[in-house]
Amino acid sequence: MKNEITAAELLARSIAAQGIGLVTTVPTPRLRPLLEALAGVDGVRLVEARNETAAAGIADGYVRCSRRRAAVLTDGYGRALSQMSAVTNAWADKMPLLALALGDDRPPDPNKGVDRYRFDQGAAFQPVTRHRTRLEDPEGIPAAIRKAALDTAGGRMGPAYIEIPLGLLKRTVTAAADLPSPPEVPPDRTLEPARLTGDPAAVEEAVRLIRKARRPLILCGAGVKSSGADGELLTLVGQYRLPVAMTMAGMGAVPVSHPLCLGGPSYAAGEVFHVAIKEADLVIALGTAFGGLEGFGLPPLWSGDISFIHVDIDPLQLGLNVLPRVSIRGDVRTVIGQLLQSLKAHGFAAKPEWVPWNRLLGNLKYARRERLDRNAGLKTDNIHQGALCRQVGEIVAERADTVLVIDGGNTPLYAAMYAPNVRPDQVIFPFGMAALGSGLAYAIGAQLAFPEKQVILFTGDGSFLYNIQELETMCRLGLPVTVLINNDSAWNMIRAMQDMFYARNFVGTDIPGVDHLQIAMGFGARAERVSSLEAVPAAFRRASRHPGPAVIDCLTDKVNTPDALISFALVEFQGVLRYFSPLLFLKSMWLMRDVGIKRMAHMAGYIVKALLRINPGARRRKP
Amino acid sequence: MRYVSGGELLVDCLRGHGVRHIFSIIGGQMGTIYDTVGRRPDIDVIVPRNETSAPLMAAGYIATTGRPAVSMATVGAGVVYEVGGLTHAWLNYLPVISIAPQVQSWKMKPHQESLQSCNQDEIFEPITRWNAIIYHRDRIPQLVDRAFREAYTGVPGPVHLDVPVDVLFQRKLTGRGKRARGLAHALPAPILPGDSTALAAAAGLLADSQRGLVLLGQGLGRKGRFPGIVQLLNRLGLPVLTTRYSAGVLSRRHQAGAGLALLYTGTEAGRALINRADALLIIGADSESMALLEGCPGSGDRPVIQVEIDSQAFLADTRVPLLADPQSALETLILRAPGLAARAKPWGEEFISGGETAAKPDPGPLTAALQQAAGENSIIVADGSTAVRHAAALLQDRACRDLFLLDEREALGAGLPFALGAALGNPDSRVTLICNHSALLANIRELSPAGKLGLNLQMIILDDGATAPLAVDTAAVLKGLGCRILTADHAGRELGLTAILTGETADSAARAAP
Repeated sequence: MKNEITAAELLARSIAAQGIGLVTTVPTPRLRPLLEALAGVDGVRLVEARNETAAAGIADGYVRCSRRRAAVLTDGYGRALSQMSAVTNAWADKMPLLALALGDDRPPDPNKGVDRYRFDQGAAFQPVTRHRTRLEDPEGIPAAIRKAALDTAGGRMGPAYIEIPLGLLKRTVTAAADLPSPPEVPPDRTLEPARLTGDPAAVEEAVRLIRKARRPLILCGAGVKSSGADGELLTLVGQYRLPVAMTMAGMGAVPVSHPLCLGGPSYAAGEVFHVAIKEADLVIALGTAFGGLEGFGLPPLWSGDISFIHVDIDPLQLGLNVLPRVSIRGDVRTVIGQLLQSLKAHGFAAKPEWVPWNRLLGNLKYARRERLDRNAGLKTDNIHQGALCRQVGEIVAERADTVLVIDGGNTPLYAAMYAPNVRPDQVIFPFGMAALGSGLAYAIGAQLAFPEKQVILFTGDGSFLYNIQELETMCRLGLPVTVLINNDSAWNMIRAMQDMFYARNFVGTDIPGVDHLQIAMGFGARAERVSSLEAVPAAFRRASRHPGPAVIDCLTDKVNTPDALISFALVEFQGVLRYFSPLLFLKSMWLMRDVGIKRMAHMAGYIVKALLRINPGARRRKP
Repeated sequence: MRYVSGGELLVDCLRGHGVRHIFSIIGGQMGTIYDTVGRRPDIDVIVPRNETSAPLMAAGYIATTGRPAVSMATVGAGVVYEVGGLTHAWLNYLPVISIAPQVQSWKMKPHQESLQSCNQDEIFEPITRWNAIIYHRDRIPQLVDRAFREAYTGVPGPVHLDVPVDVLFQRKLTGRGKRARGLAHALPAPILPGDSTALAAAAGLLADSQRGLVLLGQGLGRKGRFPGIVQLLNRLGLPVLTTRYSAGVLSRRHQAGAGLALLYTGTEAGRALINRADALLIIGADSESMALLEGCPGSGDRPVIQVEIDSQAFLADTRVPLLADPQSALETLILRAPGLAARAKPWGEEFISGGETAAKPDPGPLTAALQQAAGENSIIVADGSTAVRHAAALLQDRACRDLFLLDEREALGAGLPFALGAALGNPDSRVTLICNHSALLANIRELSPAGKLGLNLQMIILDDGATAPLAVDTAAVLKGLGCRILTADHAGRELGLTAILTGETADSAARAAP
């Protein structure tokens, strides 16, 4: 039996057939046929955002949070390129976002002539997508969407860009009755990673290295979370007493309260992480790309003598930055299972010589926590960011049904340093691009994915305004997101740099006097301001009882700087620090004296303990 | 001789090209640039609240002042917001100079999982006239100079430079001479008297024609884009239609002004009028004039003369491609086709009066608000199809200093940051934005920093029914952002409300001084 349908209808059905339960969009007249077709398909929810940047961010947030499929669909030209920030975030963090946009009917003009509409829209997405396609003929639509879905999940994840020439939507197709009718993949289905088994010989070699190791360390990245390997990981850690660190993207993969966990992710763990990556002789890296946030796994911050066992599902990540002794291409959960089996078969037990190693790391962890607590207790004009993070962390850790979305520059860093004891599915943040501003959109995506959960957005004041228009979307959809603004009235991560290296030449980094309450209430959100730590829990309770979005503007003190920023800066400015003017630096230090002796001492302590690794107390002390 | 960082050298070069304003949100890799800006009194950073707005503000500034402006976003994370706005500059022939830092030159390409980084130069390639990576500090002056020339030469458009952090931070002993490149560079309207054979042919065709019609586009006639041609077009005497890229340059108040092409092409009668022309003089072809040629093909033998300063802009159907600057070309054509104005007068009157009937203005309930907004010193930015229709209809007869009609397909809500850029560059003019609620909300955050900066902007917000009802009260949102509501007419439907942003400080005039 044959029937005739429009290409728009076929496209809508093909999208639904891939289990895409959410399509975010900004409607335009040109998109209307497709939006109408999508509205008529079962299992697809259409959500309208106030601009394309946020539409893409909402879809990305939904994918991150739920591991279910979502797509963004926008008009073309600048509206298509406005998706770029979310697509790039998805690319950097390997999220299978489907980005659909209308395109010009005519082929791109290679001469970049005077008809500027004929620019190569798809080429702009080339560097930040895993898959790109242009739907040229209606008959090919189902296969093209299916292929895009296949290419973006499974082995190597990332976003896809799908261009829809406007004229295509007006065409019809005579197709067989066995058209993709939903659901080929049910919309509530989470994306299961390919359960790829690692090469047994490589696993055996890895086990040999583990048995030989004197100071081993596990480093877990986002791959542990996307593989759902946290349970197996805890068995490996607990059974063999292996210390474990997280990358920034792996935040939440292990509870920070676990005695063998080094604490916050990456350098946020301070001296314990620095000592671990300088003194370990074996690092078992699970699902991590060794990116910039981890210093690439290379000197000068890492020891050059480490033997790496690198497990990742993407063969191109293996050996990208570090040169592993053993590379295992495979699903992290499956490979940990193989390691456990083999270790057991060898009758291996935790080595006694690992005890002092673990004790040293444990001592350093607890000493750091004490120092951070002392620092957070410093007297400040407003709330100390660290203390605020502790408070937020307690709220998140207390309630299993919360999801914490983090947004900002220093704000995520504080959150990592004062890391809450969260589960793997409780935190989302675009680590790879560390981009500001996606918070409101991600929070909407998270709340759409889990309507029953309490979504908390913890954002800096700089990042809060990026997508402020989405408070309308929150109000319209009645999403009860609670937004906590870490409001220090500055782009403070960069302001700290101007403080330390440019003698307080603060240019473009102060944003004083923004009335977030007025703005939020203008949008119809509940809003209140707090300037003391004690007021935060009650304000949070009031906010979380509110049926719609609620904003708590927490006034914090811009004089504070997260100490771990120094470590990240060392990576970010590796090789260029020598260009900083020493005289200007000295002058900066002199001018900085009015931040107070205790703050200066805390920073100096960080340099001594973390960067110079002078910790005689921790090395002597028994637990 | 003294130690000069790459960032300082870059700022020196920008100043050398007359840059007074950089629209930018900072990133760590831009440390030396911002430090230099902070120490120089003659250059300022204007900080939006999302990088998307930086090139849009720069575009509004450039289009209304003719002066150069820079959009700067930080590596990766900032850049990916910026590109949406920069695409608007690309589609509108506006020479925004976009600059971004990159990670260290030795690890930037190919991408190797560096924090925030990607092969960003490849993203910019399709939406710029030219883009490059400056790998060596000593090449900064040369490549900044090249960027300006690429952006401004011929049909203008944005360009992009990536500068690795080590290049920006590297300090070297540098003499004054090495830093001064670009100071003498003349932007942006060169004199190109033109190809004499083509000029003769064009003059001949015009002399032979009975019903010549001029189509002016590409932004020509605006500040910095041969504004002198307005007078010359009046002297030439042929009726002149403008595409939206040159909207408002010639209105019906000018002797030769026939109004906006889009009002004619939108009606059967208007298209018929255009089709009656027996010669078409295109000055600065653009997307709209190309569409007009397709939609109004005329009789097969209608010759097309095309004046361009860039040979790459010539269209395949053009009979006489005339490579010259428009001012020189018009001067010569007036000399060589004497009596054209007198001969064309009846046709001109017929075209213009026919156009009044064909392209009937229908400003609807906007009339009063728009009439108030119009004036010799007013800059009007209409964003979105309804706003464009109303503004185009009314303002073709009324005075305004500058009129911008933004196409909503190109970007949502570009009008607000564009208008704020215009307000910054023209503190003595009155800037009005006309848009619907949806376009206003898309970039509404920018009202916050604009108010702090002391910018003034009037907004006319339409209820055009183009979008689903919003959950918010726009007036309340605007109040929350520090605006004053002048009228809120909910009963009157289409005219939603007018509001005004009054800057908190009065230093915008000082900031905008050239």
